[in-house]
Amino acid sequence: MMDRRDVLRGGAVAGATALAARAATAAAQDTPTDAPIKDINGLRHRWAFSVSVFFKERITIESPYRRAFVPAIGGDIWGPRLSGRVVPYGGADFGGGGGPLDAHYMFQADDGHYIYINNRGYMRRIGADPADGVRRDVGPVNPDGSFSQEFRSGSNDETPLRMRTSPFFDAPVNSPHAWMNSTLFIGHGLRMVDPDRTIFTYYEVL
Amino acid sequence: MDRMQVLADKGEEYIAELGFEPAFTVTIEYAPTEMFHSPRGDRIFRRIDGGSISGRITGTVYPDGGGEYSQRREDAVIDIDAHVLLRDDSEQGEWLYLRNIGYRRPDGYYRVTSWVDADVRGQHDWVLGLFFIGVGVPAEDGRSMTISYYEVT
Repeated sequence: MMDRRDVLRGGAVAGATALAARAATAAAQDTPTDAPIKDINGLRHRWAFSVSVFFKERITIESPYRRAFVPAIGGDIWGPRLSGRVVPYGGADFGGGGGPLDAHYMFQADDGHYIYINNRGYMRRIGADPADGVRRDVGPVNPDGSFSQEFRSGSNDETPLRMRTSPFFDAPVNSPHAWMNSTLFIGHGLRMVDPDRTIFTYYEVL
Repeated sequence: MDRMQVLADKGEEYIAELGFEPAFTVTIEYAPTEMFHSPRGDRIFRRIDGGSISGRITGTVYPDGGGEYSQRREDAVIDIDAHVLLRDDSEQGEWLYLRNIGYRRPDGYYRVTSWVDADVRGQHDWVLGLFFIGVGVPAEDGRSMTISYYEVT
């Protein structure tokens, strides 16, 4: 058994390699940005970047949780701390059709580095019972067992949604994006149509 | 670099605002830490011994079964992964489940995204489906962590 203070000391007990790693982590957090820091009720945060993710097809499995498969066909990334694109067909949202999001796809920064995102979140109709989530009803089942795959979440104007996400990233450790590996983010999603897409606004929690 | 985009999306009006409302504060007390080396880093086990919750929910941290199963990476950052069972102080003692995932850095940064499961028939159903952001501050003796949670609105 070890004293927890040993754990808290972190890499100090592991020698110079760990110390160097800690220094690199600290340096990564210091990436300069012009984005202003906001403080709401004591929680400091700032806009890191936004992402538009474009969609085309949707596939639903009529499983108990109505698994939905929605590929990310491409997109754009812009903001003070990251710029790049969403890799076309580099992943999808595999969330339950009842509302929870669980997306796995890839970014590519302007400098060429790839960044993995796992974007978990929820969509809730404003004013709805929270236990219901968002109903994305599937059409009637045909005699042969098939059913219509046509469904979509409408734009925010049609269906006011509260969409919040908590993305986690894997970025290359020896890259300008390493800070994303140890920063908590919270996101806001806005549904848009024509073309079908969602704009995510990501804040880093300071 | 080719990318799919709608230039109008970059307007400032689409930088959506978020809100953070103080929700509750949880103090988690831990048993002595156990650690072992796993293929992906140091697995850190901190058994939960007790604690309390105050704010919009008041009650206690259940001492028998919860824990933090975190992992220290090569860059000295700890990936937090904690599962906490709570019981409110009502007569019937409603149960709540709290999940924390996030980062603890050597510079003192301790931030988690959290969500809570509660009985849909209970008085805490307002927590269902929401995200909470937690800001943790360790006790000086390292035996407990106090986490202030904000509802993301």
